Amino acid sequence: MREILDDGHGKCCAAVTNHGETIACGFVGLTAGVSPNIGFLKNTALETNRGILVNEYLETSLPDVYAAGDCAELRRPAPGRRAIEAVWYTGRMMGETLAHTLTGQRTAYDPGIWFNSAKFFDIEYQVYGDIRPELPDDQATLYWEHPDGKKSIRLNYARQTGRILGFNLLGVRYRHEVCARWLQTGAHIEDVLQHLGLANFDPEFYPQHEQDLLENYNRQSGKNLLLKQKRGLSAVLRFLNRN
Amino acid sequence: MTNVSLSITPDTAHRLKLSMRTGLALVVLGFGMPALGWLQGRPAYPLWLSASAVAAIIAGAWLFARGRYSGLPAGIQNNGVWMRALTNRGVSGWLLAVVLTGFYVLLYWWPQYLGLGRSGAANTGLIAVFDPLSQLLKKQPASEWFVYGVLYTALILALGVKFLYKYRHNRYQMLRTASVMFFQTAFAFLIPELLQRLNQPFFDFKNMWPLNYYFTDGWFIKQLLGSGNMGLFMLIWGVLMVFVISPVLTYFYGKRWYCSWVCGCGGLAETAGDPFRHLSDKSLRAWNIERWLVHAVLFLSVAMSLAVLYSFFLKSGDTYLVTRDFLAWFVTVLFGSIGAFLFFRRRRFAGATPRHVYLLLGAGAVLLALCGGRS
Repeated sequence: MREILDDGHGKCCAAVTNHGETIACGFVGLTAGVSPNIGFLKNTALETNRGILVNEYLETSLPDVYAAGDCAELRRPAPGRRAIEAVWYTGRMMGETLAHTLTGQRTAYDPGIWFNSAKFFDIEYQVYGDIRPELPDDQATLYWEHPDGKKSIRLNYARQTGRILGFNLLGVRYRHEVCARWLQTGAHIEDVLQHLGLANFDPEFYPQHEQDLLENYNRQSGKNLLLKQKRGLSAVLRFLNRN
Repeated sequence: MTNVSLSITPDTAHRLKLSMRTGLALVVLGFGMPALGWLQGRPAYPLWLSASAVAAIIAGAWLFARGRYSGLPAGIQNNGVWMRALTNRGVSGWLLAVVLTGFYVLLYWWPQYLGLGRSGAANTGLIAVFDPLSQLLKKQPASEWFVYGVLYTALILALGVKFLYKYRHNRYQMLRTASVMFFQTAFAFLIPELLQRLNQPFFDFKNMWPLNYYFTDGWFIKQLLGSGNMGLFMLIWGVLMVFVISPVLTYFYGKRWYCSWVCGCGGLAETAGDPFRHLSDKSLRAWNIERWLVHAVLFLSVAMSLAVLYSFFLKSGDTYLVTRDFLAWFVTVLFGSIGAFLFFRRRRFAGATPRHVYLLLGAGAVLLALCGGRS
């Protein structure tokens, strides 16, 4: 980006790209991105790329030197995962993993399913599993949005097998353990939808949207599924303790 | 959409708007009017003085909250709490702490300086300001506890309104706050006062033992037993609250059903205390001290209540169904069954270890020794 243009009243009206293209807008969101700050290590014996290169034990190219968190770049990330995942959840898991190793139990880094949660201004955001910016051909998606525009739920699943692949939520909270269990066991989208109450993690007395999402699915699939499991803690505990 | 700053540093967004200044002025006026009465020491005040003081406090808080939160997106707004003297241990924060503590010291030990008339003398000062309101409600002059009750209720209502504005995105918090505001106004304040007007004992139906520490006092039991069916109902209700209602509700909903939905202490902590939460000590050490303290206080209150009951039954001989032997059996069965329950179902109560069970049984044994000693 080269420039943000002013509308004459102190507000933005357009952005000019480095190719000279002018894009009209009413709002500019600047995303600077994150990159490991490892410039001071560039001329050392430590092997680096964009970040400090580590194996699955978070060991660098030098003995007794480890790297974890935003600066660490995995040589062989798990399938579908990035070499550098600069979010605090993975940083914490790397720290815990390394603590095991440093106290005598050499432990490989296993981040489990991908997840993240944050807040965009005042809208909470959660993601579990694989949600890509562009839907791959072999994936199908199910989407619901609240009329007020501040809540939305997206479920992505395999087009052929119906296997659940990812959850994306704005302004709605789902229960981490339940989503992780569904993703790890490869639950079917219809099984997930009929028991979606298990995932509800909003505070009590909040409006529940499981039925809305299920109706969207029925509309797009022509089926007539019914919601079998509503929100409830004891049902969640039974589900999680089942195996 | 209005222009909204989401900056977390002090800037124009945190400057007090006119409506907020007006609101604050009203609150100061609301507290200032009775305080002026305190300085003046006149014996008779009109009803409108105390009524408008309470109204000014609530209306002022409402105006302030409206100015502070409306127009901003709904959602928790704690922006700036570390930047203000009041909420970051600054001069105004300390000043407030000293004034509040001073008020409590006077209230508990020297209420005469608040204007309480001793041995039949008429009230003066601050307490006299609330005489007409007290006369209206229960046809008696105000006591220091009546004044305290009025101010406490006004504060919960005023800051409850502010809390409702702040948490308007959260239906749970809205219902919970409405609940504590209702229980404080109706159950803690109005019902006990109106009961007195009807020549019934002062009784807060939601205030259970051991929080209500005088429930086992001889004078209180005698008062209830001397008040006919109503008194008997209060006695049975009080016992049911402790041994049936509270355990069942706590088992299903956790202690929040009382502390944040019903209780006046929790009510004040969750409304007036809300802007100060970030100042609490979150360390493990603080939590450990807290656990030892609450259990020590619970043990002491059980021991004191048993001692009080013991001497009550000692004096009354065989007048009552409940005897000293009954007390001893009661302690044995109660502590034994809680201990056994904890021991066998300790996995259900995260963290309960055998050590906790021994501590509990030890406490029970000490209490039993207290009951068993014959004079």
